[in-house]
Amino acid sequence: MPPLLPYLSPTIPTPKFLNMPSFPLTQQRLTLMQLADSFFPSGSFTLSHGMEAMVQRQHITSAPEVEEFLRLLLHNRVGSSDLVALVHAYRASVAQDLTEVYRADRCLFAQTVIQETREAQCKTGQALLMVAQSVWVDAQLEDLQTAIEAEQTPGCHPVIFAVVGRAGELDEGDVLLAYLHNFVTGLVGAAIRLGVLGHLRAQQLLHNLSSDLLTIATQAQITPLSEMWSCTPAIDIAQMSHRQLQARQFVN
Amino acid sequence: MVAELNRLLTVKEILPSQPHHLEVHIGLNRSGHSFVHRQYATYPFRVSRALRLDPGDTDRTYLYMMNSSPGLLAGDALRLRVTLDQKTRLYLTDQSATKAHAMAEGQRAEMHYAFEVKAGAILEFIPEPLILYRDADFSQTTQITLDPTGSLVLSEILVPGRLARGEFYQFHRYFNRMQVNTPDGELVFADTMHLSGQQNRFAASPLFAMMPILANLIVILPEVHLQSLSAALMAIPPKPECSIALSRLPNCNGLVIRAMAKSVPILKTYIHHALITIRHLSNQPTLPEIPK
Repeated sequence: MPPLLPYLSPTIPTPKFLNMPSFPLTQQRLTLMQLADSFFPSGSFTLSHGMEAMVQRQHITSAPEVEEFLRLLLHNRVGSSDLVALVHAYRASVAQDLTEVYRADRCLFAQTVIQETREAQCKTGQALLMVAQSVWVDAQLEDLQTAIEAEQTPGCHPVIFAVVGRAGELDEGDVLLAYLHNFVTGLVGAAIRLGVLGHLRAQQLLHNLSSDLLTIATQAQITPLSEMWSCTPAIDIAQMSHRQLQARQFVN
Repeated sequence: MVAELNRLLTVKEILPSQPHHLEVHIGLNRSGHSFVHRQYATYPFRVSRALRLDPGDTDRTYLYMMNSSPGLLAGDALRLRVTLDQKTRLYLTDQSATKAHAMAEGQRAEMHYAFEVKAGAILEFIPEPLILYRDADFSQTTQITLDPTGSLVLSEILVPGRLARGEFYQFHRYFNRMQVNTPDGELVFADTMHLSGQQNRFAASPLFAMMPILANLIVILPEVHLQSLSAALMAIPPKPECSIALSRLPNCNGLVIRAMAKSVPILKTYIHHALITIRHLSNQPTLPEIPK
């Protein structure tokens, strides 16, 4: 009986014009795309990270301001805090050391002093875990779920993302980039919905940010867990006051 | 499992184990009044005598830290330790703003605070602002060991240069890490800020800070209804030249208040009113005038 997918059969060479890499690598790439895709229902696309409050108060009114907001968040919070926990959790997950995964999780939770951000991290983390468990069969994902239910660990989104990425057999660099892509596209989408960015400008902005993403991903890989930091004073205040907005499209 | 996690989360004390330049130990006498049980200060610090600024509040001691140097200079590594015994109350402040002076490239000044607040004790630490002069490089750590029944009110005001002479983000670097742990060493929360000066690409952006002067107020009161406290603190009449918001801290019954303003007096006035509100809602005697 011929294989159902003949082009994936090890006995039949892949047509050169497709330039298709080996099956595991293709599978990895598809997993990367699936995880980074806005279609993946992790709940992170309900977040504006303070942008909605800033737009309503007219602090963000144009595409350059959206770009500045994104760069600020990426360099002064996501890269210096979330990604550091993600890298630590990924390495611990690869080493099958769940205790270290929980340590990264609890450190990130304790260093996220703004309640609105903390709650969003936990809600989206748990939503991601729920979806991931239905896609990948993995003992660590099940253990994580049990630990969250037992309140042994809070389940912050970057940490769950790290373990899901490992379960999807992505390497560290790909998990970092998938997380960043997910974060940035979510916020760019929020900017479009808030009416401060058009679709074409959104694509330019995503392209413009690519070197920033590489820079902060590289920096996060050499930052110890004990040196997480953040410094976004105006965004902190915007996030803290988000609940006081009279009409809201986003969770934070 | 939980015990194992707690052990791993036990954060090593972030202060070097070297002699302190200032040590104060607040004890409780037989009448239930807080008093300075022990104090030690060496250059550049001195400590005022224990003051009773409110004759109706003899349970509490008011102390001023005095710094006889011109400010923070390159190579300074100052260490301060303050311990509050059970049920003691201390209001601690200093005389004037701390100035971090210019330093040669590669040099910096450090300040390390260690506070221990035991069961039922109340610490209010309200220092004057920190001003970062041109070419200053300053690192500060604040390690607080807080009993679950202890209370903490701590403020900080940061001025990014001598603004009146047009000096704005001309310092090299400012690092500030505040960490609160339980007596068992478990991390309650940490707030870490790394602020670049001359290299700060966002310094002039209103999305980074709409107003130049930044402030934080940390309030941990184990027996106060946080929702009521939040509402009361947000009801303090706002000024147009400042922006203030608050949020609940992780792993404790506390709040963090972030603020920014165009001038220091606006923030000092807000913090003063916040302290009055905090004392009122936690059934403490009202805040007396703190002469400076």
